[in-house]
Amino acid sequence: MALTKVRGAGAEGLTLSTTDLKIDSGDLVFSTADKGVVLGATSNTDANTISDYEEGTWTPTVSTDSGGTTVVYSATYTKVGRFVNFGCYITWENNQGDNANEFRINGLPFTCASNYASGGFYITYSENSNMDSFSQGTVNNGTNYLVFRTLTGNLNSLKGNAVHDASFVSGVFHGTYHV
Amino acid sequence: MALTEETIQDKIEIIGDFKHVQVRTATVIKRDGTEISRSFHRHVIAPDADTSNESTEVQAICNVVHTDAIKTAYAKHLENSEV
Repeated sequence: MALTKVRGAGAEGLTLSTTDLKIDSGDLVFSTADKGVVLGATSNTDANTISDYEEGTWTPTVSTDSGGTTVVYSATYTKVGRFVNFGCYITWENNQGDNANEFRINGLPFTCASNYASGGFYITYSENSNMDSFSQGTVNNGTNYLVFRTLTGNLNSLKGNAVHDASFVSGVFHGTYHV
Repeated sequence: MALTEETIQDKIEIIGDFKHVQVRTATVIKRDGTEISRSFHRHVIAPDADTSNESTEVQAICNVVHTDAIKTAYAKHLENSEV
């Protein structure tokens, strides 16, 4: 087996063979942004290239301007290629609910793609809400917010008064959408 | 040994039909001038968003790309999405 060992300014660390590429320690870093790794193909095709990964935080806000308090305990995301996985744990005041309009949680870290196979989320925990009658929702195409939906009929979106059951509402949400 | 922390908007992108402005804010920790940590926070400015708390650079971009035509189209899109 042919081996080529590459030594930079530091210790020898990169080994090329006919079967594997090994890095003894450290990471694989591209000098140019937006370059990636082609997986499952022998030619450089965009559809087989993973070129983005990012972890971070975001700030959820509740759709209203009535001045209540939203507490964010945790709100994180991981983006792998075109897919964004997100989660959050927040508490907000009932009076923040706008009972005339669609209830939304704003602030997603990326804009959802503009097609109808957009994204969705589910509720894994809640207190003081009416969430026993629904447990999911959507990330609408071309937006960056969550919409709560019923579990019956046409899965219509919910107003604030359909979501709240007490002064303070808390919930844990997890979801996925693509950009 | 000196540890410093700085916050920078290291990526500003204009995305999609409605020109959403995506902003990545990086918190960079340096030890004696050498970066040892970088973490990210993201937010998105929709065409109908209040930009008064945004940075001067982001405000300038929003003012250019969020035209009346874009705002009208986005409002129509939201109206159609509300089902």
